[in-house]
Amino acid sequence: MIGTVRLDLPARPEYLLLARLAVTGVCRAAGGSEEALADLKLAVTEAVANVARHAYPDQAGRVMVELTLAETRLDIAVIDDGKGFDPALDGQAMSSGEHESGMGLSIVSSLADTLSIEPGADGRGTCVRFGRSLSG
Amino acid sequence: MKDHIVLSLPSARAWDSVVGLVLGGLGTRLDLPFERLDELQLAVSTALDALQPGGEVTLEAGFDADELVVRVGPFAAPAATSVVSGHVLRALADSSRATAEGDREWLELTFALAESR
Amino acid sequence: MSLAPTMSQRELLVAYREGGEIQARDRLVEDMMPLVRSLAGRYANRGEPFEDLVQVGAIGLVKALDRFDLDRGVEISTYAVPTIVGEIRRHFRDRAWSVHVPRRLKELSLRLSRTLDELTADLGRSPTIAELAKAVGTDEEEVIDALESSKAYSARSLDAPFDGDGEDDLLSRLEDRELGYDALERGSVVRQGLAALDERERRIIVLRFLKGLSQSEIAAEVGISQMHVSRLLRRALETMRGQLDELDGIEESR
Repeated sequence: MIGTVRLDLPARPEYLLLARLAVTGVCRAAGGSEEALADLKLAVTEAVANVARHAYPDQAGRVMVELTLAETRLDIAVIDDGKGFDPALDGQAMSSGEHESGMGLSIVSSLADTLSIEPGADGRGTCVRFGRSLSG
Repeated sequence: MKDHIVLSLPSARAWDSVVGLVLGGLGTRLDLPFERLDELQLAVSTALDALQPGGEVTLEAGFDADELVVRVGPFAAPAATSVVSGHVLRALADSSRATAEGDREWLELTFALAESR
Repeated sequence: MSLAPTMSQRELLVAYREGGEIQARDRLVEDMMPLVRSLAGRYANRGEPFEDLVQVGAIGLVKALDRFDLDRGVEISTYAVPTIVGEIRRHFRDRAWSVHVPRRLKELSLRLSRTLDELTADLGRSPTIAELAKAVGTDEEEVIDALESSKAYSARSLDAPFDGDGEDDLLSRLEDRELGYDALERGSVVRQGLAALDERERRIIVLRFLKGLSQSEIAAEVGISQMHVSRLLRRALETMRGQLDELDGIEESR
């Protein structure tokens, strides 16, 4: 199976459930292992919770969760349109785990095969991408 | 509408469970009674059955305290749904209508919420 | 009675249904295997061996031959198509259920079915997912997951009976006449669609959409679980859709 699922949600904690369920649907349909599913659910939880906590300090915002399935591999992008991060300043704090976001994202990094954090389109917001094989 | 979610995915049957699960999550957040949620899922599933495979389908769900409006499409116009599906959708949803957008159609299903509490 | 070598399909069917001639049925099935193979071919390359699909399709053909109303003007092959296709699709769902659904969800589905019916009776209304989750002692996400997985279940699954609902219930004993089925216009699209269903499925559709009973009312009235009613409804609608697509000449299906 190959295809992309896009889920656009309010960036609030109660909608995390929907993101996790979307990941569940894709993994099961693809015949992925329960272990891969558990890892990816946890990873998407951290990434989306991050957005809910930090991306929109002053107003309500939205988050886009993009699931790209390529047979036995699932890549997830969590994209927000809010307060971005400065790679120079926050980047270091992020990878060292000091920054609260960094904690969440270091969890993602341990669950996924790949992880990248970039500014969103037009330099606004943030795009966190991670992926994992669905077998084993 | 106070809030909304948008889901888009391939139109093939293999992806149906993604729609069911996301609607399940939404129904949970909206405190829908089980039977209402089941029929919401059945209505959307019935609507999706009218799609041809190979394309993409989008589902927009807008909601507030009083109602949930689900928009599904695009379908190739005219009348996306058969006579039978029309009967079924009108029985399952509080209202069901098709709106045209160019040569495509979108199906709009409305579910009242307040009374179900 | 011996079978003449040049009996038509209809003659063979009459010999089987009215004369009890199994040989006639066997010959008719053999005659119609190209149709079964052609339908199975539409579903090839989706992860299931072609010959399995053909075998399953043949079961559908036999069911259709058993159900076909000899008084109808419709071609036997036209009538048989949705039942054959229905069996093939069911096979995919069965395989998906037994292969992809984790054991814990299968067990949870069973508990949920009972809990749903109990809670509905206790509360006097349909419970929310939150209430269901609390009653079975798990979280909402698991409940939603289990409910969705159970949609893949059909009674022919390799696993043990899922919710204890047998086929011997009131649903089978209701008369079509009682349900107002005859009031439907002959030749109407709805009636054509209904003709493709087996008795139980047809009665469920009539109870829900013509009589307007809720799923919980139907469950209470005919003595099966609500989740079973839901599954029967889904299957019936899918089969009806298949029949009508067929009549419209729509070959490609999702």
